[in-house]
Formats: sequence, structure tokens, C-alpha cells
Amino acid sequence: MTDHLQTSERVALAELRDIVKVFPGVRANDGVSFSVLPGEVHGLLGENGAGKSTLMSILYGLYQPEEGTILRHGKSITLPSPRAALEAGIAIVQQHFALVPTMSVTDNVILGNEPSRIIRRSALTARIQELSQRYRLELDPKSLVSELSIGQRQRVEILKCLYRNPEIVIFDEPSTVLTPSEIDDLYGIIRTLKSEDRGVVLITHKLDELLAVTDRITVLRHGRSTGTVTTSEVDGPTLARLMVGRDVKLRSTAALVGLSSADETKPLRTVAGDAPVVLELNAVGLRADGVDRLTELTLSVRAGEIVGVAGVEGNGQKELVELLCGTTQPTAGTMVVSGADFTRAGAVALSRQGVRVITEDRHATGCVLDMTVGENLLLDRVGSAPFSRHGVLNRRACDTAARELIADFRVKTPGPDVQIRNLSGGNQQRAILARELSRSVTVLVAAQPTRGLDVGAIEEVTERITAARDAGAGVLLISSDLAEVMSMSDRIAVMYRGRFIAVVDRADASTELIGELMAGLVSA
Amino acid sequence: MITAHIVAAFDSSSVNISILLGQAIRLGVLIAFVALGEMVSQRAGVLNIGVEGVFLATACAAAGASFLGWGVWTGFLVAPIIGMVTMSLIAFLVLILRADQIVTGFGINLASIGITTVIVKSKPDLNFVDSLKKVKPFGDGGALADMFNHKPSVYLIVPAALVCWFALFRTAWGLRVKAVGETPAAADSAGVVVNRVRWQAMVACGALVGLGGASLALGQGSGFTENMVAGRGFIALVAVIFGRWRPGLVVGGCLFFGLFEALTLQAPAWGLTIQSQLLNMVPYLSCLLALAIFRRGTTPPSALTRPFERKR
Amino acid sequence: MKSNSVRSVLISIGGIVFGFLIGGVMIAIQGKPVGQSLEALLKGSFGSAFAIGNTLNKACALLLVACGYIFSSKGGLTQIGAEGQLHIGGLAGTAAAIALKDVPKPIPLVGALVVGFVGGGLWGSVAGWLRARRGVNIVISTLLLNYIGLRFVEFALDSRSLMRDGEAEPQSAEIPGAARLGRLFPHTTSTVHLGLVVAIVSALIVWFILNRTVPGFKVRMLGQNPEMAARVGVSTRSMSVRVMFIAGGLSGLAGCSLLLGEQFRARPDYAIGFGFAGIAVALIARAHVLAALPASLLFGAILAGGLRLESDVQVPNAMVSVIQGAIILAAAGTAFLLARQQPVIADDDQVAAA
Repeated sequence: MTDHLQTSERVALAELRDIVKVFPGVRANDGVSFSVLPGEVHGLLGENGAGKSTLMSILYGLYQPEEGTILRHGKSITLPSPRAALEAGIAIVQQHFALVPTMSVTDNVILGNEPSRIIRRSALTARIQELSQRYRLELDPKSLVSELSIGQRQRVEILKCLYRNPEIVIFDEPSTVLTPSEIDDLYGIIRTLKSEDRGVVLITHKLDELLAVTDRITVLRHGRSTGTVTTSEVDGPTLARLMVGRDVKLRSTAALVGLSSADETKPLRTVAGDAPVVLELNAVGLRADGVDRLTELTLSVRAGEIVGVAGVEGNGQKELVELLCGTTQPTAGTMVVSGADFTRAGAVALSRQGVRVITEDRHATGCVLDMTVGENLLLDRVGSAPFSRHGVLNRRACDTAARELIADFRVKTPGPDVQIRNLSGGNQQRAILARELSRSVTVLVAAQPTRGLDVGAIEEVTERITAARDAGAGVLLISSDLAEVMSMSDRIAVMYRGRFIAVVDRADASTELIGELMAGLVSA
Repeated sequence: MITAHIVAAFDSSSVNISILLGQAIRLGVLIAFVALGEMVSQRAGVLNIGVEGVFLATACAAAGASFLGWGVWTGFLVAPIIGMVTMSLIAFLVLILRADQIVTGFGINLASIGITTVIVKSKPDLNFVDSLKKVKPFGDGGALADMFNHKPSVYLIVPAALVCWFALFRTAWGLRVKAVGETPAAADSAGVVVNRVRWQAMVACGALVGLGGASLALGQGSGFTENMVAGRGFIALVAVIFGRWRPGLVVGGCLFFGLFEALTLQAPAWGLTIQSQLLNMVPYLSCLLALAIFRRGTTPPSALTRPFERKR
Repeated sequence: MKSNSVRSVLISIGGIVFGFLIGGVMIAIQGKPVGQSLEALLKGSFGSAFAIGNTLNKACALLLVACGYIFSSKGGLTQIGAEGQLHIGGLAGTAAAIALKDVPKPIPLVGALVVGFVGGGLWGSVAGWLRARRGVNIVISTLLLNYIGLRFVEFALDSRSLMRDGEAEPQSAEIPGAARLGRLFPHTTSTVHLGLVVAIVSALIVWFILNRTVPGFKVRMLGQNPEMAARVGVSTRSMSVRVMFIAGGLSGLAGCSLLLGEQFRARPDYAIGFGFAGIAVALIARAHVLAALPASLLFGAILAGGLRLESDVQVPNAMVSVIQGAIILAAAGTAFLLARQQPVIADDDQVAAA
């Protein structure tokens, strides 16, 4: 890999050599080498969990490697903290924004790099305005970050980086939260940075992005580098093989990693038009704190079909899931399950009716991390026979049931008495699926069900959802991953600013159309 | 009913409102130093229940300095130093060892009341030491004099509050303090050393509490007596919430508390029939009601009580 | 898991030793005899039947408070309101005992205990309600309620129309014999009373509820993940009042055990500091109900022995606070040693912390 450096005859801006980083139970980086040259966009590709973010966190001083060296302009350095990295000219645009919501754009941009001890805000505002114009990042420096959209927050994040005039800019999965047109703007910024002879590192698991904008690509798998290649010399399938290490099985999975165009994957089957409607939303609205979070959502889901809900994150998906969980009640409209009104029925009644929800954030709303696997499997059932009588738990019945579920859903755990915190993300998700799908399912709501999982677990989760559909459940698949929605759904509803701006049959949907709808560029 | 009594009392000629207000200022300012300190600490994300104990320890230290004949104003130097040292110890526990902030505060309060009591029992002379003399910038009589003639330590609150306001809202340090209290992970990735800033905020808190302690022992009182703080540290904590983490409002809250303390002191002189316990209850009750009624603006800094640890 | 609990016990013992070391150093600095001080402490706590009784009586009040604190903290409510709940509960129990003085046994005692529980419970519920309905931070509200409660107790005992009795100090009438917690060993000098049985049974019940029943399961779920709990129909709203009622009730029982078992007459501040000491016991026990049994015994012994400290070797009773404070600080400062998480269980589809 180092021969690139020799042939390029340029000293790398930064180089990581033989990095080893161990987390409890896993070698996140296992002898990885990586370099970035001036005026280069270097892509870092790998599945979730391959070690990309870990590697860049090391370059950004967030983690300390157990072994290996970091070179800057050919000289060995240590980066004990983000501060040290910033001082060394390395900046990162993080996937999860590192912004203080209660402070203004200006304050966020200068935080940690204040020009003087006493802050003169008017001069700073002008400086930030100038910077944002140069990179075409439109922002009002005085507005509070909490008032900005996701796309605008990312601009603040980028501005924060550029304000420090770094030589190396790392982008960590920057496109996940953006609309297609915002992604184009992002490419523009990356190209500008490149033209200024800065080094750019782009972390992603999307092949099309890498092919569009990078010069070189390093692929990571299971914490090891499987190769560094020149972008112009490779194609998608080669990269995918390097990334996954085998041929990809499901079409949806292929679409997920961008191996095949999402348009080519057709829905697996079509639904009978006379299947009963299991879930019906009639002009559902939600108003909170004086803001309309959801407006006139109307949609019906039939038994045996998957309705995808596409949309950029933060357009009301979270609120929709909360309504379907029964933890929030709509302020307008009605929710009908299997013909009965459940608008204000609440969580318990919805669950009793067979509405199962796989929430987006496993740790926050999917399980109780400090309770055992067994307790998590039976969270919603301990109150009923045979798991308890007169309010006293029947520990044997609980244990037996938990063991059965663990076996059925192939949850890898030493036993039901281990805290679920100690399981890997994939196995936590399996346990959650076991809890939600092991009982009668009328409606299955799956929000970002494959996020953060590796390919093996993605396939399994996808299969489980499809199986539930085949068994007669109506499925609402909520995902910000266009490819996932396109490959699994029979119909697609597009969510934008708390509305369904279109509901399209899969046959009529194309990536371009849905993408434009997601961006709010057209209305159907 | 209470208000009826108070109004009735105000109407009678034996009542001197300016004396009452003067007393309110004197008592409120005592708490205000501590409350300002606690506010800075909470802004940085550290809920410091231990201020009660630190308050007591610094009062004892100030009396000690005066007792040793170092001079009264030396007490106003020694007490903040002791405050900063004690706060550093708390900072070590809650920042480095990530001890629970509430538990640590409890421990500090117990240890402090124990140690200071042991000290004052073995050195009863601490009960009476040289203290500050009242100054009279507003003349010898009249309402203004009643209200605004105080021991010099009282006037220190004005610069203290202004410095707090300026530091929090007009300096880079204040920006960092607010950031580590609100979103420490963001501050960290912007290159701010979270625990260092939190430690600085706690040390600043210690200094302010020390001013309060010295004012208590050498301004309000004339020496140190067993448990002389008697819950005032907790009142300061309440005042921070009452004042919504803003310097001006926090000081205002303290004066409000001071007013009720003054009322209970004045009540007997006015022949008020109302029992002092009920009057004593009013500040707490009104604070509780305010919290229950006004929900907006009463949100504390998001990272309050949460230790910061970067994932390794 | 096993090795973790052994570690936890060792660390706690280390903290206790640390606390006594600090106390010893302070005694030595004062030029008082350290050995004799320890002896006095031991004599005062375990040296005679009377001393043991004293220790156990203090321990049982502390245990009840600790159980209440543990119950609410398991439900995610870190509250510091025991002091107020204890005083209000004890006062309510006393009022009931006095009111029921002409009723046949055992109604006065049972009635007083029930009313004491309910009184403390209602006082606790106020904080629960404020949190559930008005979103008021429970640390703050319980702190305020402590002061309000203590002032109210002073007021009630000072007020002739309420409970004040006699011309001397503000105090209540004497609690009638039928409402007193009887001595367990009436023929010895030990004053240990039925309150001990009440406390131990309460602790066992709390343990059983938390670990073996559906409501306890819900409380724990709520404490560890309120959002998930809401999804299965358990919300902070629905639970905080109930959890705080039980926690406050247990503190109220603690107040009753002090008044009905030992003091027989309520005075203002009759149990000042007991609420906080009980919380300290819960902290040392690291929120394990069963560990609170030995922890409360230890703190009870320190409190009882402290009296001898002053009379035998002229070391101020306040030394007890120093020792307690140091033990708490040691417990707080070492908590991180136990929080170390066990490794993620490795498997072939490992998801790293990427």
C-alpha cells in the first residue's frame, strides 16, 4: 500500500501506519494503514462495524490506538485529544453533529477556537458570513442551532471545520441525513476543498458516492484493510467484494450498498387488492409546542403488503412511530386498526391488537439495556399468565419461554440471565424481533430496522420482515435509506415536513422520482 | 391569611419598611455569593449539593484567619482559597472518579459539618473574632441609610454579579462553560477539554462560596458558630433554579429569600401574631409553586449531573 | 456476576475502613487517645444490652429510610426527600396514636403505623405528582419539601390548636402505651423494640416486590428505560406518584419507629439528620435492599457509639458526621470501579463501536 506514496512523489499530509485498536471483545482496527495526500479525496469504505469511524476517530484524537504510528508530513506525532488534532490541522465533520443546540451558529463555530478571550460578536459574525459565502454554505450566523434543519446543521458543522482552516477534513458518513440535492452541494464543497490542495477523507458505505467524488479508496473489513485502490481503476462490484468479502445474497442488500441500482430491484410480489385493510390513518395530525409535527397523514396498509415510508430523517418519522407505539396521541384525525378506532387507545391496547413496533433507536426505545435478555424478551408480557400469577412472577415459566425465543430467533447469548447490554447490536435486534414477532402480528411497524447492522444481520432482519408480511401482517417500513425502501416495498409513501406528499405504487416509482419527492422538489 | 397579617403589620406605625429591606439585602446577599457560584458550576453541568458544606468550611476558615490575628480582610482571602481547594477535591471526585454528584455533595456536607463542629468545640474562641464594621456611605439616618448602609462585604456582590455575567456571556471561557454544561461531547470534539473547564467553573464556584462564607462569619456574624450556615447553602441552590441560571435573576431570587428571612426576624417586633414557622415556609413554598406553575425557562443545563467520559 | 458482588463488598469495607481512618486521624490531631475513642465507640454501640438496643433502634429507622430511597431510585427517581417524609410521617403517626388512645389494643399501634405510613407517603407523593404532572425536577422539589415539612412539624408542635402540649418546650402529648412499639426483651436493659421487626419485614417485602413481582418489574423497567417502559404502558406519569408514596411511606414508618418505640413524644427536629443518614445507608449498600441490612447496622452503631465518644473521651459527637461523610465520599469515589462494563459477548457478526 505504501507504494502509492512513493509513486506519487508527494509527502502524505497524514499517514496512519499499522494501527491496532481494541475494544472489549473486538479488534476494531487490526493493523490498518492509511494515508491522505494534498489535493486528494480519499474514500474509506466498509460495512457498518468494519472500523472506518474508529480509524478516523484515531486520526482525530478521539481514540488512542494500542499499536501503530501516526505521521503528519512524514513526522511521527501523537494525538491525545481532538484538541491536539485540531492544532495539527485535522478537522472532522461528524455523522452525529457535535453542536450545542442552545447556542448560536457563531458561538458554535468559534467554540474551542475563540479568537480572543473576550468575544466581539459583530466582527466574528462578519467573518463567518464571508466564509459561508466562499463555500456557498448559506446560513444566518445569529440563529440558534436548535432552530435549524438537519441539512443546515451539517453546514454549521462544515463551517466549524473550515473556520479552523484545516489541511485535512474528514467527512464521516455525511450524506446519511441529506436530500439528493444537498448531497450534490456537499460534493461541490468537497471539490472546492480539493482544489485548495487540502486533503479530504470521505467515510461512507455507499459505493456510488465514492465513485463520484474520490481519487483513491481504502476498503476495510472486520477491522482490516483489504486494499487501497485508485478510483478510476475500479468498478462497483470489485469494491463490493472487497467490502463484504463474498457475493451479496439479497437484492435488497445489494441495493443497500449500492451494488445494483435500486431501480433494477423489483418488488418481490404484488398484493391482492381485496386483502383486508389492517391499518388506516385518516388525516392524522400532531401538534406539539405550537408546531405541526405531522399534518393530515392519510394511508392504509393491507394485510400482506409492505408499505414503505421514504423520507429524509427528521421529517416526522419519529413522531409517526410514537403515534403507532401509542406513546403519543394524535391531535387530529383517526387511527384505525383492523376496523376499530385506536386513535387514543394507548400503547397497551395497540399491542393487544397486534400492532408490533420495531423502533429506530434500539437502546432508547427497543430494549432496557440494564435488564437481562430474558427480561427484555418478555418485557410486555410479564403481567399475564403463565409468566405471573396475582402479580408474582413465575420465574420458571419466564426462563423456559426466554430460552425458546433465544433458540427460535438465533440470538447469540450465553443465556437469558445476561444483561442485554453485553450483546452485539445484531443480537440485540434479534432479541427485539423475537419479542415483537413471536406473538400475533396484525401490523408490523419497522423503523430503520437494519441501521447499524452488518450484512449477515441485515439479511436476517429483512427475511423476518418479509416472513411476517407473508404470514399476513401489514407492514409499514419506515426508512431513510431509499434503496431499502425501493427494494422491499409494494407501495411507497414519501414523507416531507410531516406530510405524506405522495403515495406511489412500486411499479411507478423510480429512484429519481422518490429522491425528488424526498427533497420536496416536486409534489405528486 | 398570611398576607392579611403582613398587610396589617405594614399599616401599623411600628413597622419600618426601610429597615426591613435593609435586612433583606443583608441576608439575601449572603446567599447570593453562594448562589452565583452554584450557578456557574451548574452552567458547566455540575450540580453541587456540597455548597452547603463548602459554605460552612469557608466560614470557619474566615473566622480562623481573623482569630489568628491575620486581619479581617485576610479572612476574605483565606475563605475563597479554602473554597477553591475544597471544590477541587469535589471536582476530583465527580470529574475524575466520576462519583455521583448528589452523593458526593452529601458526603461533603456531612464531613464539613463534622469537621467544623469538632474544630469550633476545641477552639471556642472562634465564636467571637474581629469582624467587619458597618460603613455609612448613605449618611447616618433615613430610609436610604437603613436600606443601603451595610458591612463593606455586602457591596462586593455588585462586582461579583457583574463579573459572573460578563464571564458567562461575553468571554470565550463563558462560551466553553455553557457548552460543557449543555453538550459536553460537542465541546470535546471542538477541542475544549471538558473536565478542565468544569474544574475551572467549580473552582470559580469555590471562590464565590468562599466570599459568602467570609461574609457570613465576618460580615453578618462576628465569628464561627456550630452549623452557622444552617441550610443557607441549600437555599442558594434553590435560588439558582429560581433565577433560571441567569446572574441577575439569581441575585434577585436571593433577595426575595432574604426578604422572608427578614420578615420572620421583624415579625415579633411588629407584634405579628403569625407564627414564624409559617413565614419561614413561604420562600420554599413560593419556589415550589413557581417551579410547578412556570414550566418555560425552568429547564436546567442538559448535561447537569452527567459525568463526561470520552469513549475509549 | 459473583466476583463482582465480592468486589463490591470488599470496596464497601475499604470505604468504611477509610472513614474510620479519617476519624482516627482527626482524633489524633486533637491529641485525644485514638484507641480509647474506638473503645468508647464500640462500648456505646455493642458494649452492653442497652448499647446494642440503642444501635438496633437507630439501625431500624435508618433501614426503613434506606428501603424507601432504594425503592424510588430503582424507579428512576433520585429523591432526597426522606428527611421531610420521615418527620411528617412520624408526626402523623403520633397524632393518630394520641387520637386513638381510648381504643382497644392493638388498634392504636396499628392505626398509628398506618397513618404514619400514609402521612409520609402523601408527603412523598407531592414530589411524585409535581414531577409527573408539572415536570418539576425531583431533587429540587424534595429538597424544598424537606424544609416545608420540617417547618410544618415545628409549627404543629408549637401551635396550641394543633398538637402542642404543656407549657414547656414545644412538644406533643405523650404517646399512650397502647400505641407504643413494645420492647422485644422487656426483662433486659435493651430498649430494642418491635420497630426492628417492622423494619426487617419491610425490607424483605421491598426486596420481594422489586425482584419477584410484576409491579416491581415495572418499577425497575421505568427506572432503567422510561421510554421503553412507556411503550408497554408503564409511564413515569402513572408510576411516580405511587413509587413516591411507597418511598415516603417507608420513611414515615421510620419516623414512627423513633417516636412510638423510643421517644414517646414528638419534639421539633426529633429526628433531624436521620433522613439523610438513611440515604447514606442506601448509598453504601449500593441500592441493594439486602445489603442495606448490615449497612444500617453499621450506621446505627456509629450513631449510638457517638454518644459515648463525647462522654468517655471528650471527643465531640460531631466526629460521627466526619466518619459518615468520609464513608460516603469513599463509596461515591469508588463507584466507578464497579461500573466497569463486562465485555460485549463476541460472535461472528461483531458490530464494533464504529
